[in-house]
Amino acid sequence: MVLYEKTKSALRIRAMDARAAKLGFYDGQALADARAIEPKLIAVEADAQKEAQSFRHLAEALTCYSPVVSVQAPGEVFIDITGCQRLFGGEEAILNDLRRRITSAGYSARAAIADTAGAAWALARFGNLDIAGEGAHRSSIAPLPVEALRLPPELSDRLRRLGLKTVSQLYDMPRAPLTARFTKLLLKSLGQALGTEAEPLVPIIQAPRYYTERKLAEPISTVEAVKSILAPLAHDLTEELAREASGARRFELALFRVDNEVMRLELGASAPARDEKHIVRLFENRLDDLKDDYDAGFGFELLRLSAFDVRPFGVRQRAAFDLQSDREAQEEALAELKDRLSNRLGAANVRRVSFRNSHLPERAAMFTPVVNSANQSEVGPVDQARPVKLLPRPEEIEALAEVPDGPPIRFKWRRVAYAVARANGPERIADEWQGKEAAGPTRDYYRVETPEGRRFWLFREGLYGAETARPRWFLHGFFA
Amino acid sequence: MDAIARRTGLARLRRRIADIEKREFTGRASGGALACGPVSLSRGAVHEFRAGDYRDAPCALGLVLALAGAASAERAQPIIWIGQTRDAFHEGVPYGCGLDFFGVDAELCIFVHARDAKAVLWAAEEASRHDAIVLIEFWKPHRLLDLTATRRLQLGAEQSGARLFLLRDARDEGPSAARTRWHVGPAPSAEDPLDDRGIGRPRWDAALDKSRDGGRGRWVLEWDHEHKSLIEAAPHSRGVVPALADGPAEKTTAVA
Repeated sequence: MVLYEKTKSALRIRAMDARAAKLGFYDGQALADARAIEPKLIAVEADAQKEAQSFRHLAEALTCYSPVVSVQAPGEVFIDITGCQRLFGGEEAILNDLRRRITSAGYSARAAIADTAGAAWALARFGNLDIAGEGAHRSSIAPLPVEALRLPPELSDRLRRLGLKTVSQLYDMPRAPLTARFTKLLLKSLGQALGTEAEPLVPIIQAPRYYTERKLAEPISTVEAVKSILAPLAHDLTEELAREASGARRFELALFRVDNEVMRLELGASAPARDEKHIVRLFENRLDDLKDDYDAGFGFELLRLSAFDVRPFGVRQRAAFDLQSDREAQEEALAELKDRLSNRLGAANVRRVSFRNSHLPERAAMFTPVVNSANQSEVGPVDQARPVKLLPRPEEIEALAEVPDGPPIRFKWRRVAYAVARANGPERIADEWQGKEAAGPTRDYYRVETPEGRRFWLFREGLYGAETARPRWFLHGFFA
Repeated sequence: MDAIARRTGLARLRRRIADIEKREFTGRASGGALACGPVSLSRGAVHEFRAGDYRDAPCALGLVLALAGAASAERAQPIIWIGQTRDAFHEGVPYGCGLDFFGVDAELCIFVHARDAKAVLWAAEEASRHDAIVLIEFWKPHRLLDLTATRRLQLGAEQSGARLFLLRDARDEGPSAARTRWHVGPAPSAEDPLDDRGIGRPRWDAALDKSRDGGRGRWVLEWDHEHKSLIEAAPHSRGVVPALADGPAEKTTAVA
């Protein structure tokens, strides 16, 4: 079986399985030629997008080994396992687990561990050594061909033509002429393989500075079991945060399934938090809310709790009868309440109001989420009489006015007729000068009261004669 | 000429006397007491305010805002205002610019939109455990808002010291564990001293239907925004004068 793609108006082979490789096909071969050689060839068109997607999916599952997983080219994953060996029982165990995982997912892979990303790449591609021990990367990649240095093909071709065939031959070459002839790229690649040049790995998923995890000997699947592990995780994480006198504004609980699926639950906090009970409670709420979306598959094998957006957060000293600390405790409790509400109902549904410098009533007071928003009011609330409730969309009413530019004496709203006993107005609110979107015609607002004492906020849209011949009336809000 | 002058002078004098004579019920919370009319609304309790329908809902809301503002002002307590998302287009959404009038600091408010009745009750219960002022708008009658639910809110409030204002439909006849139960209807506003045809200070027709202390009554309350206090309104000099002495029984029939 082969995968083909359309390049330069010809169908060419892009990838193949082991059986096809045995028949001597090669990448870039015209599909027509291959078919001529083997008529029973199964050819499927490559879908680059789907490939990238499923590869990314797999890469995400690999964050179970370490949060720092980086994809630099399709089909290549770098995992920074520094400090993670202990959890899995050594480097060999990690490698075996990784191979088993990828094979069981239906892929084949080559993997190697070395001190540097460059050396690991070289070993995985060209070496027959799986693990280069600490400090052994230099010697272990020495016999490999120069291609192992992650060079563009034309550069390695040139090296070859000059008789530089193995990596070791480059070790003792003087640097200056090398740079002059082969550009800085060669030295950079060499340096990255040897560890003399830094190679930052950009993680596919933001890597937390603080995290705790539990690897489970037996996969778990019930919500209750997850909750029972949550508490010790939160305990460890908050202790770590407390040691650094910091708190986090975002937490993530990643549940790694045996079948390489990852379920991530995220929580936002309105203020840096590190209260163990609070975090546990928030995640428990989230887990309960998942209901049908909770899918443990064949079970979870690893749970990781990470803290993001970590900020300094002082150690609270709670003295008895201390007003200041009482106030702080109050504020903290309120922040926790905001978090609980925001995380359960959605951040967009727990809001506060800030005032904008706008004449338009619907823009003068804006709602912003309480979590992660630092929006301050530009101005104080307006001085004029304003309703306590506003309709999100003004509703058109049938109104009858005594004089064309006076308040209505009768109106009909939601199929009920109202008489107007008293009215104030008009208050003219015109389109904003600086406003980007057109707000529409001028509005004349009236406060009206019915004989029973119901008070409404109505407006007439458009100026008589100037903007419209027959103005329309709307009901926009309710006075108490 | 003379007669008119005398008459308007007399009218002004009458008004002044009425102003002096009218009983003042301060809405301001002092020493933890919050007065609504002659009734005190205690901390750590649920107080229920019912309104006839969506058109009367703002009346109940106004009275509750005046009370919440007074209760919150003492210690700058947050006001947690919980409503249901789907009500927004029917009932309108809280408007920040109109709150200052009732002594409510809009920036102390947290506006919570819950998806359904269940989520409203969950949010209310969470909020009730916090020492705050909680406004719960629950306009559509719902089977979930029953004795158990209100009792849970009441228990939460008792422990935290929160004041919960539960706004609901008067047609929702279900029992409730609230400490006080009010029925609020519209009342024509006070006279506007500057504009004869204008709208004056807001007034509401408030009836105390039920109270743990056994009190009952019906008052027309007026909001004096300059002094931030609720006063019992002077009899209206024009328009409909609501009967003050009506018992609550009569009130219920009027609503039904």
